[in-house]
Amino acid sequence: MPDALIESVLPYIGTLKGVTLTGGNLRHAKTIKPDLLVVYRDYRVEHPADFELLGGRGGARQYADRLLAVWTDANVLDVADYFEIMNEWKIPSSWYPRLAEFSICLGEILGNEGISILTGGFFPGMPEPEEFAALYEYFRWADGHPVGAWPDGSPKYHGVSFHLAGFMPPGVTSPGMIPWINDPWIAGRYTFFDQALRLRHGCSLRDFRGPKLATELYWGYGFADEAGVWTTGQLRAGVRETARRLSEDGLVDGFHIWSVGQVANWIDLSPHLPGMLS
Amino acid sequence: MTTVGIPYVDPFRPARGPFTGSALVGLHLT
Repeated sequence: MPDALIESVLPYIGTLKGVTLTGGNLRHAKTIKPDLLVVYRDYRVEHPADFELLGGRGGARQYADRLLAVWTDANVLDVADYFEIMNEWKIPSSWYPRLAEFSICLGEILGNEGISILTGGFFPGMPEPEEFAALYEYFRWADGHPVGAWPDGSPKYHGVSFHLAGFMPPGVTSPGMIPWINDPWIAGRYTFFDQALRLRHGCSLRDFRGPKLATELYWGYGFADEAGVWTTGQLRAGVRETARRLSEDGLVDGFHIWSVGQVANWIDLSPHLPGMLS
Repeated sequence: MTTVGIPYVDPFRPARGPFTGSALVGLHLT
């Protein structure tokens, strides 16, 4: 997409996520705004194979090699602050403790390369809060194993990501909007993750030192045929309400609004920029 | 603040690195 479009939103954003083929845009944005928090995911590697997840350190090593190959090819290793290592993977409930172990192995392997990861990338409305709480061992481990430091000297930690629906202020509606707008289980699911961690382990999600990021967030499904559902003004209201709610709850450090770019059948919010952010 | 009887501490706020204490607003480039 045009770098000029990215430049037009830089005054209004603190973070930017990109996927495969957007590395050039990310690099351009980071050059202009070095304190921008940049997140990258490469869709050429969506999630581990079952045998990689369940395969102990050898499985994690193989998956790390697959990730490193595409990140190197995309030329983003010196651009992104965080790499999301999987996307919307549905696994059995009993595998979540294994996901914690796997994430520790990956955090160790990639951390040794100076790479910070976001594990999870969970689908909106997933996982079950108890499943999320099974990542506790990863959180504890990550808190004790920073990956270098930020320019201000504070330690940098591995993190976790999930995908959410956005919040809209009461009264902002559209005939075409999805019925689950503002649903606490989809927009506010992080509060249930937090409750499960407190009930099971006596600590809050916010006690975890690494970033908790909503790396995909929209006020709908995010398909192209939803393009006319919200006006620019309504989207601006949604951005502000979401930022207000997330900041007030203090559990999520940032969010990436889905989506900018003309790819496949995904919604392209370019016509609403920079207005929906300003 | 306490919830379900468990006091929780917040020793790591405020800001660290690029994190401001408020939710960072951003875009997803696809």
